[in-house]
Amino acid sequence: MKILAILPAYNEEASIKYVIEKIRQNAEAIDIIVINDSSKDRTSEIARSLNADVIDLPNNLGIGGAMQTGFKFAQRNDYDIAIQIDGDGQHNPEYLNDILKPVIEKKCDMAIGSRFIGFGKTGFQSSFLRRFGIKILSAAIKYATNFRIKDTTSGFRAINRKVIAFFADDYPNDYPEPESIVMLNKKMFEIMEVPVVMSERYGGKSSIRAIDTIYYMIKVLLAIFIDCFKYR
Amino acid sequence: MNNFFFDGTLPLRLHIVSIIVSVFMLVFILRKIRNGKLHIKDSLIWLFVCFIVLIISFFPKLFFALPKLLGIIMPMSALFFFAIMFLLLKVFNLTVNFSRLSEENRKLTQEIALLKNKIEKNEIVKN
Repeated sequence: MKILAILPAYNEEASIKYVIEKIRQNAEAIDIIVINDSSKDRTSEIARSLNADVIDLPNNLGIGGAMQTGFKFAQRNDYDIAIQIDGDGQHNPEYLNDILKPVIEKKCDMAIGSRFIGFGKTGFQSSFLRRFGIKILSAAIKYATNFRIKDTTSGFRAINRKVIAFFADDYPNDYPEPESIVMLNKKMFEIMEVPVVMSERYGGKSSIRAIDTIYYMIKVLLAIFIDCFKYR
Repeated sequence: MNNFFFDGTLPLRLHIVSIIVSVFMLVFILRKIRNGKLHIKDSLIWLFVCFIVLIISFFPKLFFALPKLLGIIMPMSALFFFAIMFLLLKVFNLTVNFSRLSEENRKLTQEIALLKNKIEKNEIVKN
């Protein structure tokens, strides 16, 4: 079974080495592809010096466009499962096998690492405002799809071949995590939440600034609403 | 009384100025096309606007026919109404084109990056 870990990275020179090494320690058989989203720092060089496979995007596409590049790579190289792990160190590779397991066992098409269920609650829980936003998104998704998911913005995920093909063709641009849940649900894919412990960012800065949070919420809520009509 | 606002007769000086301005507009657009800065396809709408402005500059009274037909009492309001409607449609149309171009740009960026990655790997194998 071919498994690919996709690491979207934008200016993650401080953490990329740690993430790559930790993935190798925890899951040797997994291939790693770093999608360098036009970083201005040494992210690409550092990843290459560790003999990691790197795709350098000539333009900054944002997390959605970067992840989709990874899905296209996974599809063209015939991978069975793709995992998304952010390059910033928030996602602890020790839990790689936890999110892989339900997909390998064909219990679901996408497994999402959740910091709000089970033992996940012992880890980093994000700021109050973020948690509030995540709750609102959870309620909106429940309303739109009748499907309850707690960690709506988690980007620690594993997807199977069918979902790789779907995302390679159609993946949201800006803030894809919540929206992609709705897309998959409407397309009758099975989604499952798995507890994982998350950490605070290892280095670098979050791509979502506090000022953008309101704009983020409005945009994602609108996207969820529109997806209800788009995918039926 | 010479008053454009009421009967469409322009003072001579204003008449001349508006003709000059509209001719300049036309020349400006045609030059942009010649220099390759504007595609013919995209210039058509602006040439059409220029043409209308030119006609109105020469025959201001014509401008009164349309508002009268629509029952608009103040011709100036009609002018603003049509101008704003036109600009709104044009800006919306530009936004749609902008979205399409970003979509195409995203696909191209991804393809280039994927190809570059493939070429790099082939070179490593060869060496």
